[in-house]
Amino acid sequence: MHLLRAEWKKLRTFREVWVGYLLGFAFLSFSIYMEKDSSSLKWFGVQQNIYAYGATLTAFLIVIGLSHIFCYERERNTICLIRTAKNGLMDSYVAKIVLTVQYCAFVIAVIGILSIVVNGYRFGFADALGKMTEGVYFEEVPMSNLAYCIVQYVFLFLGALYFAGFVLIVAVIAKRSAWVITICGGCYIAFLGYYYVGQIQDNWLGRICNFLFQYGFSGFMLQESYSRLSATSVMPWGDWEQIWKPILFVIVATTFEFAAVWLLWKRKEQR
Amino acid sequence: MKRELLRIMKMPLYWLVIGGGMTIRLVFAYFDRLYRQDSFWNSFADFWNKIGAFTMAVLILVVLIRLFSMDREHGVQDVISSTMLGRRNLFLYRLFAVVTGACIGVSVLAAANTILSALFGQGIALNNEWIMAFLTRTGIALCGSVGLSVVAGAICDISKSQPVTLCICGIPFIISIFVNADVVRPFELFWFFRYGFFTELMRGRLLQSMLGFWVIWYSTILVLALAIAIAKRKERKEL
Repeated sequence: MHLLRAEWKKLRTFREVWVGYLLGFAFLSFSIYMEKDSSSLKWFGVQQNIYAYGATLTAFLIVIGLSHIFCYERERNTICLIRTAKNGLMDSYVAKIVLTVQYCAFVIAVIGILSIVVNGYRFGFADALGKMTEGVYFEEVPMSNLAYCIVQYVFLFLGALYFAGFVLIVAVIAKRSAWVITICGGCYIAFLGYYYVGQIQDNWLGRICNFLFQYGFSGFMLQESYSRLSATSVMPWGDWEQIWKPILFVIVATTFEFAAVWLLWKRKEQR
Repeated sequence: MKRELLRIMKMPLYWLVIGGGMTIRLVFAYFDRLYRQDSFWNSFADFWNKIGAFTMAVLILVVLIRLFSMDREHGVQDVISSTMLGRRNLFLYRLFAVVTGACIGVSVLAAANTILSALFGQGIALNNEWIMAFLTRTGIALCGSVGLSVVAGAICDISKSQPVTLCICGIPFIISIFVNADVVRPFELFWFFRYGFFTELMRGRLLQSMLGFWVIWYSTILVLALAIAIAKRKERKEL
């Protein structure tokens, strides 16, 4: 608990985190303001917010916030001190992973609550508990409009953890936050670009990109992979009955990532 | 000054980034040679539009400006700033080194692009207009790179944090790439993002409309960033 508190305290001392919060808040306010024209779409519009701005903003805040936590000890040369403590490496690893999970939950809760509350305030909450009739990724979902919005943010949380695992792996390897930001931010932007313009390519390169997008973090953050991996061969949309498949996949993939972070974190540096 | 420049030149990452950019160009040149011979020299002239601009942005923001945050990262900031030439003079030396590093980067990329294109483009008809277009765009990209390195260097010196500079300077660069020029109108927010943060210049494009406004805008950004950085360097010594 003390270690976790210390990790949060450490996170608050990083200057880039505050700059990131400032830029992120400006981006979120601007995006919500721009949504005012699509109020007629009501809850269907709110459900599109995640891939309009929610996923990208989450990715940005994760890259800015988590790029430093595994680099800090090596930058400050305190890693040797941690190694000398009993279970020092394990304890600090657990604290950092718990911080990662809490940070992702915090970021998504803020974005989700602001988005739902502001948009709901615009057109009213009257239909919030009404049955969901229209969706992009699933043909029929047996839940209310509001519940589906929350479920989508839970999906985003799982995708965010997947991405956070990737950020941590790069951070442990690269050991410099500027490089982590560039590599992870660049990967996300590349996949985002592919999502918007690149999916028409039907050659070997297109198929590789498609595979990486579908099974990579961006597909799960943008919600696309949840429908693709749960789709049966006949339907173009996802099958809600099969939703456990992508959920299981993303949990297993994230676990592997965190295990990889541990293996890389505990290895000794060669001098 | 010479030492700072040598420090940059000895950074493996400096050459790694340039090498990475040229590898991408090599792949594109190879495919152009195979499948798009009609637009081969057009791609050569258009080098700064995408690959060149991205390579220079990464080079400046990830490699070059680290010179300004290194002291703080190593915990020697207070000691260095207490020395006679460790404040304004050191800042100016480093700035000059970063600008020179950016100029060398642009020159190396331009030379490598020319050599690669000459190697792969043998036998493909060459128009003199493309050579002139490439040279003009290289000059414009050089101006953009120098401008970005000065502003980014000043911001990094003010904040003493490379990731902060990466956020402040990198985000407008990325947004600028995504903004559609046909949709934005003068004095809109995205119009400033599109043209107001050196990206357009780094892509080898001259700002054609409202040139007077942009001269004042860029001069203001440069002077303001430099003035704040120098003023901050003059603050009371810690040791």
